[in-house]
Amino acid sequence: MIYADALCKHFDNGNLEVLDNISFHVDDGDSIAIIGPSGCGKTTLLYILSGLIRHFSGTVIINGKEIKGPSRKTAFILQDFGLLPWKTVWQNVCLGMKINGFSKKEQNETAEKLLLNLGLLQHKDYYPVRLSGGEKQRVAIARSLALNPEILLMDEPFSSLDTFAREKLQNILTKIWHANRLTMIIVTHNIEEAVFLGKKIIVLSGRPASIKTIINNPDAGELTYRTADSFFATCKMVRKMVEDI
Amino acid sequence: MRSSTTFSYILSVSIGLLVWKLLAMAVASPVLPSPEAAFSAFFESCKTTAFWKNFGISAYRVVASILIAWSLAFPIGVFIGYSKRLDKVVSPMIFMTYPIPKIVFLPVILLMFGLGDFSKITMISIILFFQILVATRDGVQAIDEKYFDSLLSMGATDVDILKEVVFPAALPHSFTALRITTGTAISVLFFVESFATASGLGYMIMDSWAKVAYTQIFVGIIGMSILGVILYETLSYLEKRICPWQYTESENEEEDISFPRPFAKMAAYLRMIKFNHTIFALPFALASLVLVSRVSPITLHAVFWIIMAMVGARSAAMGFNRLADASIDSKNPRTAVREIPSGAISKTDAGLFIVVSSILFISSSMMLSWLCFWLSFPVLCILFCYSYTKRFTWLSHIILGFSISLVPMAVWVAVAGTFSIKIGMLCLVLLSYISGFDILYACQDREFDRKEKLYSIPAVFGIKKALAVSSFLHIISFLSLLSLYWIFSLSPVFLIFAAVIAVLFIVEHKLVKPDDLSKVNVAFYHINSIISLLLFVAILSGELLRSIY
Ligand SMILES: Nc1ncnc2c1ncn2[C@@H]1O[C@H](COP(=O)(O)OP(=O)(O)OP(=O)(O)O)[C@@H](O)[C@H]1O
Ligand SMILES: [Mg+2]
Repeated sequence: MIYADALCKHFDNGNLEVLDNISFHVDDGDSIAIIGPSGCGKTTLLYILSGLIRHFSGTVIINGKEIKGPSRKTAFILQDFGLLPWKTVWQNVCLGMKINGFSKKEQNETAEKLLLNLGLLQHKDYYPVRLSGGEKQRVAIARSLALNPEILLMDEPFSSLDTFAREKLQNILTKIWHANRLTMIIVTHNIEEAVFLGKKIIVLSGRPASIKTIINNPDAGELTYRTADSFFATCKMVRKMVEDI
Repeated sequence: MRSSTTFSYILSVSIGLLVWKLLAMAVASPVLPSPEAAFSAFFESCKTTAFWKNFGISAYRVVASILIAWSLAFPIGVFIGYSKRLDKVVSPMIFMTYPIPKIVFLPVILLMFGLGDFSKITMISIILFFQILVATRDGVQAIDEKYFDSLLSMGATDVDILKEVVFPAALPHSFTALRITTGTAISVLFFVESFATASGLGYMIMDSWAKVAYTQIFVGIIGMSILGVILYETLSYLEKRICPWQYTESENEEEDISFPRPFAKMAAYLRMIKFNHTIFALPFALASLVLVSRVSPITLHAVFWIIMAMVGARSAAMGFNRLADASIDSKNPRTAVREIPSGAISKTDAGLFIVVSSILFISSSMMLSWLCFWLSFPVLCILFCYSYTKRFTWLSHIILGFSISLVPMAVWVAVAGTFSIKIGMLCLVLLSYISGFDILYACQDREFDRKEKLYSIPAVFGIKKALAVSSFLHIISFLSLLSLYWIFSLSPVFLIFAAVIAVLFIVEHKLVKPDDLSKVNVAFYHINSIISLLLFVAILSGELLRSIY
């Protein structure tokens, strides 16, 4: 359960207001898609939820406790992957476990299982430069799952991919979401992606970001939803909201 | 890749030597000895322990300085770069002293630490230290914040971030700085060794100067140059081993990283004349040299100028080929990345390059004999003409084989001063060998050649027939190789090597199938290097062991 209440955030000593009174909540195992114009403050919002930004007003409560800093239970996939170029796929996946003092044996078992599931085992000794965009993103997902998180925060995870790779990864993600009972928050620019993945869709208005609407979208996460009439209807509705901003 | 770096040295050294030779001839004074004189003096010195003692001492001084400078500068650079507070305090100090040439502190250091190795090493270390420090600090400050955030979100501490992000990100920067400063290190080494000492290459140079032993000065200079090259190459090698992620991108980018800026153009030239078939002719030249030694004695002078002539001829021919084919290359995706079509080297520059290489070839031939000098012109014509044969006849493969196969004959003429029918058989081996696999290479370009109306056996007769022709040529190559056994009455050891070569030919042809040409590049390059080397070993041992049986 994530509770965000009256979040406000300023940069540059208060001269730049980025978030204006953002409140919402997500139930365990649910997902939220956040959509809004570029530069409005979506990344900033995720930084607050992940505990990386500590100076803000308002409260964030996760599993009944107010957050104080980054936590192992919350995984964060940054906007541009954040894979380390000087580590191989394998070392990147093990990184979180290494930092958190997992044993070598545990690291190897988890990494092997994750890479196998995501079809990356044959690339385990590659450096990220050699991977395609979709492969990089799968490594980033594998790495965030390695610590067995409850919450997954993703900042425009698939924005650099073409439609095929994007939909393939969305399907992979929904499987992982259900299998691991994750609570997900996804920032995206893509309306179809928001509707396909978010049980709730939060539409933010321009800077400072405030919540324009929250759309309920209970069918999200079903693989068949993509071709249903209700899917297109919701997309249309979100599109109208976004165009009005 | 590696081979084109090696070739870079050979080519630039050759041109340097030619200029040196011409200058020496023009000056005609003992102050500037000819390169042959300098090198034979150098080889003589290599036999003395005194030289190696000096070389060892100098090497010890630079290597120790490099190690000390790096182990201090790298960690400090990392901390300054990482800690904003430290940076505010330390950076102004560094940048204020940065423009001061540190060498001016030499007297102070000598007064403080005396005249021994310690003060020499300290001086060189100080100079290197600042270069590495600044490069490392800048490298750390260029690290994208998102890497830190990504690690922090996993619960990383400062120590984790230093270990997993900052150190590895800064490493390549410190190595590049090290590599670039080897030149500086050697110059400072010379400076500190030039007085108040009795050992080291710098001392050797100054001492010879005092004794008016001009050739010895050059022995010292050659020694120092070799030390510099070894250091530079060792550092490049270490960098590749320690920072492998820097070198996994495409081949071209890789080379640009490995050459510092001023050499980037040089690298482009070298890619232009990239290693290809011609390199396989070198062992044939050596083999011919072994055989001709029966007829006339071989001098260092001859070997030297033969190598120079080969380098010149090869560069001229390749450069001309690329220039003539630029418009064709630009249309073929496999070759469009070559240097002229992609614009890395202008046509004028390429033209100049060809002229310089041709002059190198012609003047080296002149050093050998007048006969060689006159013959160098028709040879150059043949080398240049090959480039055009592709446009009107499918015999182009044979013409290529023919032009390369002139090498053993040329070596014979250079040494013996006459032609020989016997060595013609070795030329035939080379001709059929090269033509045979040029056809295999051409299989890759079949579609393109057809579209562009270029002639090649695969384009005209199809892949299947082309493979058959290639096998046929390689059979000829093997049979003519075998015949050398009788022609030169070599030792039976020769036959063992010949058998291995036969096996390699068979392997090579088993690797290619009409529907799968993917193996043509890499595997071939390796097998061909082995074949041509084996051929040399075969003839060498066949010749040396001949007297025993
Ligand atoms: N550390 C910072 N200091 C000052 N200003 C910042 C900082 N981080 C972000 N900003 C500013 O806050 C605003 C919102 O940034 P943010 O990255 O959250 O936007 P975004 O919605 O994620 O944009 P995009 O869709 O382009 O990724 C921008 O104007 C940005 O310049
Ligand atoms: Mg963003």
